Amino acid sequence: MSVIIQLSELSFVSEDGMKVLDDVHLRVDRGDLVFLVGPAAAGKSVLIGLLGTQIESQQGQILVYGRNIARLSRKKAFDLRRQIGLLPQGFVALQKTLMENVTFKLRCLGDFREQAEEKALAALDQVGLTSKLAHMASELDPFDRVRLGIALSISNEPLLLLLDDPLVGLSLKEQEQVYSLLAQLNRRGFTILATTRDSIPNADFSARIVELVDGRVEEKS
Amino acid sequence: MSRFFFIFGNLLGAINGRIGWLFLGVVGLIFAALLIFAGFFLVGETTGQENGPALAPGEMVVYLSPQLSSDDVQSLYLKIRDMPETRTINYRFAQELGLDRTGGVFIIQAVSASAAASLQETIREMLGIINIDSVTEAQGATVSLSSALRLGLLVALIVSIVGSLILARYAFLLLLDRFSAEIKLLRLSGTSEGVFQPPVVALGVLCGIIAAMLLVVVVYLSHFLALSHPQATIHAACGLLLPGRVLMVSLVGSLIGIVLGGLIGVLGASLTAQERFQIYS
Repeated sequence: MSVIIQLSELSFVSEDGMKVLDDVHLRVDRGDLVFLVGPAAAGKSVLIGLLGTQIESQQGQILVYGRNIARLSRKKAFDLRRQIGLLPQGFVALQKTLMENVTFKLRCLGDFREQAEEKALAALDQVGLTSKLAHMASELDPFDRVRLGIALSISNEPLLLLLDDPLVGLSLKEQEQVYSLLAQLNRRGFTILATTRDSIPNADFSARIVELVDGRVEEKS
Repeated sequence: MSRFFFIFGNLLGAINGRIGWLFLGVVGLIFAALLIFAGFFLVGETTGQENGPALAPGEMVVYLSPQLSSDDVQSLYLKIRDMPETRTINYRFAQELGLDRTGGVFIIQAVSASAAASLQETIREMLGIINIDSVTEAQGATVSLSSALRLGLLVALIVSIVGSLILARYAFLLLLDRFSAEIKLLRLSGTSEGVFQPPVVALGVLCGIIAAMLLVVVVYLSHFLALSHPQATIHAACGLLLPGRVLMVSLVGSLIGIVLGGLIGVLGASLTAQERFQIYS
């Protein structure tokens, strides 16, 4: 098993001096499906932001794909970002159709139109949104919005998906559908680290559950 | 390149009516600044003539001998009028022009500044001609502006530049707010500022180019208008009668417009670093 994420002695203090992460150790291997569970303001988003190179690290070591992100040059940090599918909390889609949302990202990453459309179609197909390609993103229900966010994250075929609280605002049934979708993507080869403040239901998929309480992590299963 | 135009097209697509009007205002203020800059070189009276009437390049005053009969004057008039180098010819009494002489004068406008030299040579050979006054382009190049007008133009120039920067900042903030979801998505995807900031700069440059084009059109229209009515223009904007000056003002003005537009674009691009356009702050 190759290691995708390795966190050692990771600590993070917010601007107002509050300890958000405290000596966090975590390892995520290729093919893992990991849920990081914790209450609101437990530091989940900061952890995702650090892993996604969106927040500058302060103390401790973060290795993603074997690279120490604190030592990456600006250019290499952007290269790494392109290999990570990141869905932030409260993701807001573009005021465009679903297809245009995904092709926008791919074209900005340098794909030509045909190539971008092909990849977008494949990504939307993987999350089951092919029947709504021409729908405006603003017309989507919360579950479809999460699916669009995931489609955007996987559209440029990264190996690692970081999902920051994708279940917020979803009903229990919709949450189960998201779990099931993540399990499906995991079986297709994506390594997934998702945060949630809700407890994970007993479902027919195997996932590692890690608790984040008071800035410290604790492996549950 | 296709990525640049793709993002630029999307950025333009985010412009709604209000933002569009604001950017038009920015273009207007840059244009105003350029027009004021042009005013420094084009407005005012030539200082080329010390003791005679103000003249435009290609224009000359031919002093006639007081001994000439009216038939002689008529004959000279017709002869000069029929020369190919002559555009217009008018007879005046010297007193009409405030000259301390007797007799009449011809005010002649040659078809061009270069034709004026040979026309002058030919006329000088004619009988009954005492003297010819003319102005060369180099002489006409000095434009005198009163210090009050100069100060007024300078203040207006500063106000219009500062105004364009303030208005552009506001317009860009509104535009980037409408484009913020795209900026955040680009940041998430691993797209560097080097990809999404150039189209923002280009929008500023575009404003500068439009203003510069307007300047060139207005300056050249005024130039052609001035050439067709040189006497009416000579005291107000003698620089407009100098083709070299008009070309210089158009070129330098355009360059300044593009640079000012670029500065405005850089100001807009710098706004993307604000917290509201970050995902994690």
